[in-house]
Amino acid sequence: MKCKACRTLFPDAVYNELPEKKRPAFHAHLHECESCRRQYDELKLTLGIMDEKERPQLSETDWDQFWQKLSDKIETRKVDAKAFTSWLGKIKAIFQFEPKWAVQIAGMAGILFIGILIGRFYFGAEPTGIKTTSPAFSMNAELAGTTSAYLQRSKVVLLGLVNFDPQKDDPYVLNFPEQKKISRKLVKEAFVLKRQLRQSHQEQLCRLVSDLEVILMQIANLESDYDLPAIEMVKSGVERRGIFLKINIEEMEKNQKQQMESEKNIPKNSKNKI
Amino acid sequence: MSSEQSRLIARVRDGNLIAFRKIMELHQRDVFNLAYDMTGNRQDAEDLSQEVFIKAFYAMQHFRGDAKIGSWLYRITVNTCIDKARKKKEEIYDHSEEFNDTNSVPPKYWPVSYGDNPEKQAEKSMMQRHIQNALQKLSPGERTVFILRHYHDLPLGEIAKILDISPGTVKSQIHRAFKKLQTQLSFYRNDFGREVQK
Ligand SMILES: [Zn+2]
Repeated sequence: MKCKACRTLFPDAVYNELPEKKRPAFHAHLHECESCRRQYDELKLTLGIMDEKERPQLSETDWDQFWQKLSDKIETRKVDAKAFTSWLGKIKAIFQFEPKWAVQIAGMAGILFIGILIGRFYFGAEPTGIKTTSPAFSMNAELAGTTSAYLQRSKVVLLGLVNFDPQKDDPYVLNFPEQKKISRKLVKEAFVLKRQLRQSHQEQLCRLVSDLEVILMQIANLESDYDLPAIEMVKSGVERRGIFLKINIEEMEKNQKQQMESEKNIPKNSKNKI
Repeated sequence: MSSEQSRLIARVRDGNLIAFRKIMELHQRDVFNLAYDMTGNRQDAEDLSQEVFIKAFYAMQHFRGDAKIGSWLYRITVNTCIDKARKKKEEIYDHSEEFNDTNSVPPKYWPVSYGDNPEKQAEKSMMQRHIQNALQKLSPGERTVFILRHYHDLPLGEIAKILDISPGTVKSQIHRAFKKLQTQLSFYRNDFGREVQK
């Protein structure tokens, strides 16, 4: 045995994990090689020092208190789970039992599309090109973009919940701090967005954002990051309509892209007109 | 898994807290000790243990019967510790200043009595600081592997499974940990060696 091979076996040897067949060669090498022997002894001494490490010993009373605290937390979460079931009802109402959700999104896609048409109309009707930043258009296009991005981000959060598979995914590495963070942000943005939508008389969109706001607020306030039964319930509730949602939003995105392209093209055309 | 344990687990799945306490009592010291080894702080260790057992209670639904409950809890503990440390990096892991300050009083929760010999007591508490300091000098990976092997007597193969890393990585991490610890404690070794031989 060479020195390198011998030293590679130090961790196994020092913890008595050395395979039977390697033992004779290992000890034979230590016997004849002073350098490795010294290294090995030094390692054992170092580990001997590490053995002196002490830990606090919790008394029976400490453990009783520990349990008291723990069981209180678990009981509290059971109450939370009940509250959760109630908000789940709301989600189900939106995703499953009422077609409202899907209809609204489909409607919204239509509205955005109309917005684009209106924009084109304004551009087309603009003879001088001076008012290319006509407030009516820019607000529609911008608002459509903002709304679309908002819905897209909401979709990501909701699908994150829906796609969690407790059978495949590790339950204890699962956590939602990020989703919660995004949800909190979206809830904050909803306020401004709703006002803008109301100002441009987009009542349907405004209601949709309100509905989303309720769900997102609940996600943002989820007490436990590891509330598995809760997640499973959301999943089953959202599953069917979630697909619908996805398709509709993707359609909307397509419209959005078309709109972006027309935005690029139109100023060129209007310049040509001049 | 023993049939007694399967029965307990089945009851926990029905939300039975008494059954859960029985399971917890079998493992609470291991979990607490690991959390303490990882953090070097009693309060943090208690808080982390709380978190581990809450996760375990809810995740018991998904506990696979073929796994060892002890290894499973170790895994939750390691993940929880690493997660927490990431969140408050300096606070948990960087105790180096505290340990370098040789004039500081040892934490009052060290319950071990050193007898009436103040010199011996000072020496011992200094050693505790040096050991903690040496551990803090390891990378989180090296420290975790070393702690699981040295203080929790887990075979290297099982550590690989718990941490979900290759056995080769475990080996190289424990090698590096040994090297660093030897360097950190070299000044100690001569004295200590003499004392051991005495
Ligand atoms: Zn050698």
